[in-house]
Amino acid sequence: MLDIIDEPHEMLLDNYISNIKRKKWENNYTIAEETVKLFRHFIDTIKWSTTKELLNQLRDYGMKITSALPLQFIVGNIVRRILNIIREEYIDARKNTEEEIDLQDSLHKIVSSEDDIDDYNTIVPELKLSIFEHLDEFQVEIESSNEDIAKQALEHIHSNEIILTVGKSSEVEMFLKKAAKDRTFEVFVTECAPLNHGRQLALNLSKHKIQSTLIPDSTMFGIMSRVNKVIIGVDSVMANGGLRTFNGCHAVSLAAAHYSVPVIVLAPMYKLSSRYLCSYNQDAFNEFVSPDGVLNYSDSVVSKVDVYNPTYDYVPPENVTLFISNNGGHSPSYVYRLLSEIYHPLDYDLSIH
Amino acid sequence: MLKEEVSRYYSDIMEKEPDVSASIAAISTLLKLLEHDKSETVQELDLNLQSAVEVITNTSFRVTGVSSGCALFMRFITFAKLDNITFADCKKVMLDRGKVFLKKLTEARNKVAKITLPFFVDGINILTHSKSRVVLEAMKLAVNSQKRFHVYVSESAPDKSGIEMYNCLKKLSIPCTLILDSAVGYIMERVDMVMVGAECVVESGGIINKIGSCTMAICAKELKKPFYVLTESYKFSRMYPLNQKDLPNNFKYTANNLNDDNLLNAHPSVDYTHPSYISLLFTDLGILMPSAVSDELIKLYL
Amino acid sequence: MDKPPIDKTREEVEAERKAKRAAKQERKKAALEKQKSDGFDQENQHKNKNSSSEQSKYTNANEPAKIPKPKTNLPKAVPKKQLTQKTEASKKTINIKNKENNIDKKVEEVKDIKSVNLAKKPLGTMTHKVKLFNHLYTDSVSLLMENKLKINSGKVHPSFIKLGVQMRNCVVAGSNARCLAFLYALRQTISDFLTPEHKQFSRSFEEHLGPAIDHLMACRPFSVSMSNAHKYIMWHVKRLPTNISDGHAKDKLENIINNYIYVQIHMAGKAICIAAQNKIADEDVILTYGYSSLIERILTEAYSNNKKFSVIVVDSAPWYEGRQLLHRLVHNNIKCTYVLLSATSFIMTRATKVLLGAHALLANGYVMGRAGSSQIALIAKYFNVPVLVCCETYKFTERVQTDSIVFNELGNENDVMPKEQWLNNRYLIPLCLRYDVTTSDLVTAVVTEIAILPCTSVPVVLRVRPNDYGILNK
Repeated sequence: MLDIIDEPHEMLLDNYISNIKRKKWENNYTIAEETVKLFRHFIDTIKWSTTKELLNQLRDYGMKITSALPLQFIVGNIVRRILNIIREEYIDARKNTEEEIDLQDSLHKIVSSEDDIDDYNTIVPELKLSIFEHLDEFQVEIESSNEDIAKQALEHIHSNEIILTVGKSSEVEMFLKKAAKDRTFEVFVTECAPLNHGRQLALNLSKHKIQSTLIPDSTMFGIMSRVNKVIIGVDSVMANGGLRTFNGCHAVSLAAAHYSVPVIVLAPMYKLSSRYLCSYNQDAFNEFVSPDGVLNYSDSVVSKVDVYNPTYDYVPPENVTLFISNNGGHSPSYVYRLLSEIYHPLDYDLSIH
Repeated sequence: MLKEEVSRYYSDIMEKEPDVSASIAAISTLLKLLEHDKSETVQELDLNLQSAVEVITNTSFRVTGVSSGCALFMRFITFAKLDNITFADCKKVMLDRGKVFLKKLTEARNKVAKITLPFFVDGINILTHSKSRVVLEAMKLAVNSQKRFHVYVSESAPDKSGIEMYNCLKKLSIPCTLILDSAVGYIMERVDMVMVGAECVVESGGIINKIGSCTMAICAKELKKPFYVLTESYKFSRMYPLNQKDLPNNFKYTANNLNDDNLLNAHPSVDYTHPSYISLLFTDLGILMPSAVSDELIKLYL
Repeated sequence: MDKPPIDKTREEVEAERKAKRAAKQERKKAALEKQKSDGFDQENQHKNKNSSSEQSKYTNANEPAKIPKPKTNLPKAVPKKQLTQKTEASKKTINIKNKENNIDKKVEEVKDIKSVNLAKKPLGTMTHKVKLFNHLYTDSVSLLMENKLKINSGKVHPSFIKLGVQMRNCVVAGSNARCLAFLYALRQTISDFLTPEHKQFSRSFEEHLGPAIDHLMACRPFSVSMSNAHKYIMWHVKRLPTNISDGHAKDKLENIINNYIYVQIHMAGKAICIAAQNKIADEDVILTYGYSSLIERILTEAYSNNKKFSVIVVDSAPWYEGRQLLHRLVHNNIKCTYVLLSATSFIMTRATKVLLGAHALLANGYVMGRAGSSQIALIAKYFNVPVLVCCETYKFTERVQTDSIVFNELGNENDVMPKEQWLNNRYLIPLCLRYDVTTSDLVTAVVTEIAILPCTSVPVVLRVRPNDYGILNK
């Protein structure tokens, strides 16, 4: 835990970045929580009088951490979400209307020549309080996202189903455990070499009396014809509805498409990212970790061979049937709308003021 | 303003400013009409505008672009009408807003180019079809940002607009290759993505573009290459073609051919590309999925 | 083979064996003692008391099962009985012997029950099966038991015994290697075979071979290459003339086997190498999966013919066969990249061709290969990379399959997950398949020694050359 009080902001940022880089905070959930805490502290301690100043300062900080951690999409997501919260609260306070405010650019706005460039310059009293309230709600949303997703489990799993899942995801685990209370079904878990975290999931599920079978990655296609559903968790959801998920999931989604098996993706809203996959070369997309798990360093040929160990896989949106997030199910073609609700287009590029 | 004047004004713009798209030219013409209009009531104004729209449509070579622009302008007028009480006030507001409106639209192309920039990865091969000013603008910006890429342009018979595009690219010193329209299937495995403009974006999310775009899109889908459409938002139209046959005739054929009775012998100049073949639309409203187009249109018209 | 159930069931097996041995010994003893009945009356009375008390405990449970045995003893005992004054005494002793036998059997039964009870706890081992694959789990233990009797009785040639062990422990693995090893063992058997008197060579040789084949099947099910070779040889054995001498028959058969090896395996491999090399262009990046002897040959020969290409070797748990290929390629100075199966869709953008080996080609055009090769083909199709499957025609089979479940081989569960973690957990089952079936639409071409064919032409080849595959022998 960071000792947040009274440290200069640069120190806090550095600590935050190094904690993530050194894998002290490994999973997305922890990173999300810590980011919210950090930014809440910033909003508290930055000297600001107009919202514009606050936004600029936060965008600066956001720019620093996203450029220091380009492969952690979750950081950018949370930063943009917080900026959007501030904008929403500001406009809410200014307009004082009951109407739903759409911050997005649209044809409608162009045609009616509305005042879309709001300067955010007027001073609004009590803005800080309302921002903090909203941030609290956001934190609660993050904490309860897994449960909210799990609540929908019974709508998607029927009895005697055979479900396939890949690797270990906390959302999927909770989802299946919730469903197992009322339904009996079987689960096939692929091991996901070389880290083999599928093993842990299989053990956990079996402890909850869910019939689970552990299979190595190579067996996946062979049994796919008998699987009823594929349920996977993700690292993040890209803006076009594609997924950034565990390695091997692309093969799983292709096999599922081959046998017309629905692919259900469990993704809480904070994993929705505004980024697109620009090229299949994946330089800015994939994280490569130690090749030791693939080919041992003690192997004689290791100096003459290129060994890759990518962590993530890109799954295109055509292979995804359904997204389940904490506020319900969506089709991949609707992701653009969800994005527009939680992020503001001006925040997509944090470098511009 | 008389019909001839409208027609002359419009043709003037089209000839003297080739960089301006047909929609923008139509909208400026209509704004000009608004300025010089001497009508006393809203209804009279409406009638005048309607007839002007007809004139423009008939004069124009490219009907597709004009129709959406005119529809947008009429909607703009409708919005302006609702706010004000006296006609004089109304007109003043309209003129003011009109200038802002036009300004926004002319900036749209630059916005699109900026949004497309991250997708130009070094070493990429791009396939494009016919001449699109938006695509040209995007490539210009990419080259100025030190990106290196190669462009394959298809000839796009019969008006050889592909050759024009090729010459423009050469002037910008972008490495490019001119290919036959029939070579699209052959070249598709070599390119990394397809980028085209659009004359009109329809409610389904599909596009109406120079003939040959549909073939390119189907080929790209088969070989799993992304198919990107670069377009400004004023090209969104409320039409919903069901298939190629469902496109209005005045889109497909020029005015000369329409006089012939037997259209089977004429070559259509545009075709309709189904939204399932389109990966992403780059507009000044942001990067959209084809399903978002309908969303936008609903927000505007309903 | 299946080692996991062995520990617990081995105890059970041991117990059963002991019980059977004890039963045998008791029967022998009983037979002897019947002849020396007099001296043991007192002891019998003792045992009688014990037996009555024990009997009362176990009669209900065990009588029905045990009735036949005492009955069989009686008829044996009766003719040996001397119809003298001793009949009554002997009858008594017989009864007592029977009861003694009963006791012993019941004692054995108790042991059995105990061992069965023990077995009930890891009934998990019996139910540690995935229902979908029930038909593939083999009761290898009892098969081996029977075979051990056969082996010990000297009916199986030692080369087959050796081969069986090698196959079970995967020392000999891969379809070509297994087929070759099988043919060598067969050749050895032929040369050592002595026709018994008054019998034909062909008939007696077939009989002789039967137990050997059964033994091999019990160690590990036959691969398609092995069964095709076996059919072929047997067809020729049947066609031997009846009056042929041993020496001639042996020579003929050895020639046939040598010819088969030379034509179908070595020469076919060479032809495939030449054909495949034409498809390898300079600057190609070739992706391959696992280890195939044919693919290794193709790549090393292409490299020595000065083609410039690099190779991506994809490997997978739990056997990591690709590492062998990697070592051999690096030894030949070929530039290699090595990834695991889960990274395939990342690396496929760099590949220009995919070369896969095959275990067998089915008559509907589907390819049966190492588990995981279908995933490679699927991802290659997505990225528009052509997939070439290299396979000799002797691996073509008349069988058809639509999925990988109906006919397959299960791998050892311990390779997937260490035993302690799943043995006592009723809800956790590890599973791995050895093979899977790739559909014909995912494969661009099949390279055989005849020609480069589309996948759908397999039945044409089978039709055109039936003799070589012993199909007429069906």
